[in-house]
Amino acid sequence: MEDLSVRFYLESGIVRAVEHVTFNLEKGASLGIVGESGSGKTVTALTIMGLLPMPPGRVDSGRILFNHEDLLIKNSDQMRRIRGKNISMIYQDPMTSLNPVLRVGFQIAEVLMVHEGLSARDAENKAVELMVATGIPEAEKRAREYPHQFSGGMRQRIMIAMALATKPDIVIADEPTTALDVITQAQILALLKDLQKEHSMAIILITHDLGIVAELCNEILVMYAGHGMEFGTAKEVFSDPKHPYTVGLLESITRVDKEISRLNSIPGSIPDQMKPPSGCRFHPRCARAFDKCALEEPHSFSLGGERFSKCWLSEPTKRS
Amino acid sequence: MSKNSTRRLQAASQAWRRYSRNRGALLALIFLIVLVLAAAFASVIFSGDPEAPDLSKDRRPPSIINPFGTDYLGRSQLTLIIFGARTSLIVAFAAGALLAVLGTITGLLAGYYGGKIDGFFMRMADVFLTIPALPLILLVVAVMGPSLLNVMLIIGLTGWPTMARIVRSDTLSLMKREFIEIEKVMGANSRRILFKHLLPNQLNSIFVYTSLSLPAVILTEAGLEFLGLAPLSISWGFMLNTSISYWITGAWWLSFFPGLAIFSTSLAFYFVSEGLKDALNPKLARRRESLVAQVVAEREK
Amino acid sequence: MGFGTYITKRLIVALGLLFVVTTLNFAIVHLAPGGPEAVLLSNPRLTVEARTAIIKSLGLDKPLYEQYIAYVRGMLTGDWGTSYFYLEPAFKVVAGRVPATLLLMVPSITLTILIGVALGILAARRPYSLLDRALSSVAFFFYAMPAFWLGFLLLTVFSLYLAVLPASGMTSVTGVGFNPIDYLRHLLLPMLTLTLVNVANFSLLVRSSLIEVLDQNYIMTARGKGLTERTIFYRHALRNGLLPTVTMIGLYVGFILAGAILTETVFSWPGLGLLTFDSIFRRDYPIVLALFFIFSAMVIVANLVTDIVYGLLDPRISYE
Repeated sequence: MEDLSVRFYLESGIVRAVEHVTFNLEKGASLGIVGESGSGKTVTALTIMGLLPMPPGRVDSGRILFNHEDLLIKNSDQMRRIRGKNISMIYQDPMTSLNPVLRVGFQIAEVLMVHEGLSARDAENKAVELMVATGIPEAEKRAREYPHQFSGGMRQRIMIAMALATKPDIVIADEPTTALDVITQAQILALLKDLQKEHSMAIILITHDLGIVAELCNEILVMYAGHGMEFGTAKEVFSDPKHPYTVGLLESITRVDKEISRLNSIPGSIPDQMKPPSGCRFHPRCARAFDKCALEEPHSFSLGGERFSKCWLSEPTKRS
Repeated sequence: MSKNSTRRLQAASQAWRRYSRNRGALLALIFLIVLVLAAAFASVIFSGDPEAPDLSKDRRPPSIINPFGTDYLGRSQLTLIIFGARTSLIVAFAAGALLAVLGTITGLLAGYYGGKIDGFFMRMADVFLTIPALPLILLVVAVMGPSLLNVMLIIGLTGWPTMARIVRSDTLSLMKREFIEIEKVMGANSRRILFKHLLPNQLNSIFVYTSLSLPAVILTEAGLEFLGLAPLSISWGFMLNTSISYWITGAWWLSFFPGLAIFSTSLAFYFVSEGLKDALNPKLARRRESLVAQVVAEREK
Repeated sequence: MGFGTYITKRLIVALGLLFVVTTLNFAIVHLAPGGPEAVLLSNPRLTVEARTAIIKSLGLDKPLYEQYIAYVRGMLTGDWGTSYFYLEPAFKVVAGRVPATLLLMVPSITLTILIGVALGILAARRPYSLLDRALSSVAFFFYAMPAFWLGFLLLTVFSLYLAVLPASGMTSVTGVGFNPIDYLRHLLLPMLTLTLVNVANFSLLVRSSLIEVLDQNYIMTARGKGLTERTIFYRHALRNGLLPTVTMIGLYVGFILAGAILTETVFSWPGLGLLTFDSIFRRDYPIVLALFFIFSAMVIVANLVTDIVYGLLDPRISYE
C-alpha cells in the first residue's frame, strides 16, 4: 500500500478516513493494524478488498500493489475475481455476518463454486474438509445446518473456513475476536496461527487489542485518526516504541506481572473526523507535544529499514 | 422561561421554513385550510338550505351554475360537498385526536413500565390489529346507531394500536438515554419522568404519525357512509351511496365529485403529514415506523 | 423453539382470537341501545313461537353468564341466529355467499402478491431510479384512493362509455351453467379495483424489506466472496427479504377483505360484501353479527396460514 488516502464526501463535510498510509506486506508475513475505533483501520481493509461504498467514498491518492498490479485501477469485474479468491476477509461480528437462510456448508462451498469452478457436490465435500480443518466437530453433519444453530465461536470458524477455502494470498481479519469471549478468543487466534503457517498466507490483522497483535503478528502498523503513526516489527515496536501514541497504548495495557498504582489511559478522545486538529493529529492528547506539533503535520521519519514514526520527536536532528 | 420560548419560536420557524420548501405539502396545506374555512362558513357563503330539493333541476350535469352538477334531488353538488366537508373533517380530527391520545398513553405506559403492563397492552394491540377493522366498525355502528359520536369513537378505538407501537418503541429508545438514568438516580417519580421528559420529546413524532393516520380515517369514515351508515345527512360517502342506483343513467357526476372530494382531502392530509415528517424530523433517516421493521421486530419476539 | 411448538402457539392464538371475536359479538349485542331484544328480536316478522324459541336458546331470561355460555355454544354448533330478511339460519345465508367472495378475493390477492413482489424487486434493484420514484408516486396516489370511487370510475369508463365490460353481478342474466368467459368478464373490473388499490403499497413494502436486507452484514460477506451483484441479490438478499413479506400478506388479506366489502357493493357482486351492504340497509342484525364473525374468522385463518408458511420458510424456526 502506497500513500493511500480515502475520504468520504458527505453533505455535512469531508471525512478523512485514511490519510497517506503506506506499508509493505511480504508473502506469508502477518501485519497487525492497531488503533482505536475511528482510526481508519477498517476503511483501509475495505479499500483493499474493493468493498468501499464509492459514491460517498473516494480514493484520493495512492496505489495498492498486489502482485505488481494496482488494485485501485481495476474494474469491478476484475476485483470480483480477486476478492474471495486471492484476497479474502474475515469480518467482525460472526453473529450477523453469515446468511441466516442458507446452509453453512453451502456458504463455504459457494466460494469454491464461483472461484474454482467446482461442482456443487465437490464443493460441499471440500467445505466439510475445511470445516474439519477449522476445528468444527461433526463437520459432515453440521454442514447441513444453519448459522443460528452455531455458537459465536463456531460461526467465526465457519467464516475462517470460508475465507481460507481458496487458499488466498492475503487474509484480512477485521477484529476477528472482539465479539467473542476470552477463551474462544484464544482458540481462534491459535487456529489462525496454525492455518497461516500451514498455508503460508499473509495476514492483515485489524484490532484495537495489542495483546492479540503480540500473539500473532510480526509487523505492526499503528494508526490514529487515519494516519499511519508508527510501523515496525513487533519486537521493535513493543520493546522500543517511538511514537507517543504507541507508548500510550502500551502503557494502558494492564499487566499482570507489574504492580500498577493507577489505570493508565490516554487522556482526551479521538478527534472529530471532519475537523481534525491542526498539525499532528495526536498533539492535543500527547504528553510530549511541543510547539511544532500543532503547527505542522510531521513526516514519516524513517528509522532504519521499513521502520518509521510519524512524529516530530523522531526527526533525525532530534535523535541523539 | 422566556429563553425557552424564544428557542421554541426559533425551532418552529425553522421547521416552517423546511416545511414550505416542499411545494406539494404547502399546496396541500393551503387546500386544507381553504376546505376548513369553507366548511366552517358554509352557511354564510351559501344562503338557503342545502338540502332543499328542487326536482325541476334533478340530475343536471355540471354547468356554470352548478359546477359539480345536481344530485337526484336537484340539489347543487358543490354546496353539498362543501357542507359535507364538515362531517369528514370533524370525524377526522376527533378520531385522530382520540387515537393519538389512546395510543400515546398506552405506548408510554407500556414502554416505561415494561413487564406485565407492556405485555398486556401489546396483546390488546395485537388483538385489535388482527381483527379486521372495517367489519368491526360496521358492526358497532350498525348496532349502536350511526351517530357522530359513535363513529368518532369506534374509528379512534380501532386506530390506536399502530400509534401505541410507535410511541412504545420511541419511549424505549428514549429510556436508554442518559438523562433518564440521571433522573431516576435522583429519585424523580414516575409521573415527572413521563410527563416532563418522555412525552415532550416525542410530541413531534406523535403529531406526525397522527396526521399520517388521517387519510385512512377519512377513507374509513367515507366507507362507512358509503355502506349506508352516515352520521349526518350530508356527507361525501353517503352521496356515493345514493349514487349507486343512479349510476346506470349515466349521471357520472353523482359519484365522481364526492369521490374526488374524499380522494383530494385524503391525499392532502397525506402530503401534509409527509411534509411535517420531513420538517420536524430532518435528521431521521429510515425510521422504525416502517411496517416491515415492525413485522421483523415481531418475529424476534 | 421448535417448529411444533411454534405452530401450536400460533394455533392457540388463533383460537383465542376467534373466542375474543365471539365475546365481542356478545358484548355488542348487550351494549346496544335497547339491549339484546332490540338486536335479536326486533324482526317484526317473527312469529311468537320463533320468539320464544330464540329466547329459550339464548337464555335471554337468564343471568348474563348463562347467556354467554348459551351464546358460545350456539356459535360452536352453527346456530348463529335467524336472518330477518331471509328467514333462514344466518349461518346458512352467510356460508352460501362465501364462495362468491372467495372467487373475488383469491385472484386479487394472488395478483397483488405476484405483481407486488415483481415491482418491489425491480425497485429494490435500482433504488432511486425512475421506476423506483414512479412507484412511490403511484403508491401514495392509491393509498389515498377510496376503493369504491375507483370502482365507480372504472365502471363508468368501461361499462358505460366503452361498453366493453358488464356492469354488475357475477354472471349474465341468461347464465345457465358455468361459462368461464362470462364469469371472467364480470370478474375483471372488481378484481382490478381491489388489486390496484393495494398493489402499489405492497410493492413498496417489498422494496423496503429488500433494501433493509441489502444493508445487512452478511451481504457484505457475500460481496467479499466475490459473487456477482446478481447472485447476491437473488440468492442472498431475496430469500431474507421476502420472509417479512409473507407476514405482510396476512395483513393484506385484511385490507383486501375490507376492500372487497366496498367493491362488491359497487359492482353488485353477490358475495359477503354485498350481503353486508344489504343487511345493514335492512337492519338484519343476525346477519350483520354473523358476517363480522365470518370476516374475522377469514382474516384470522389467513394469518394463521401465513404464519405456518413463514415457519416453514424460515430456517430459524423450522430448525430449532
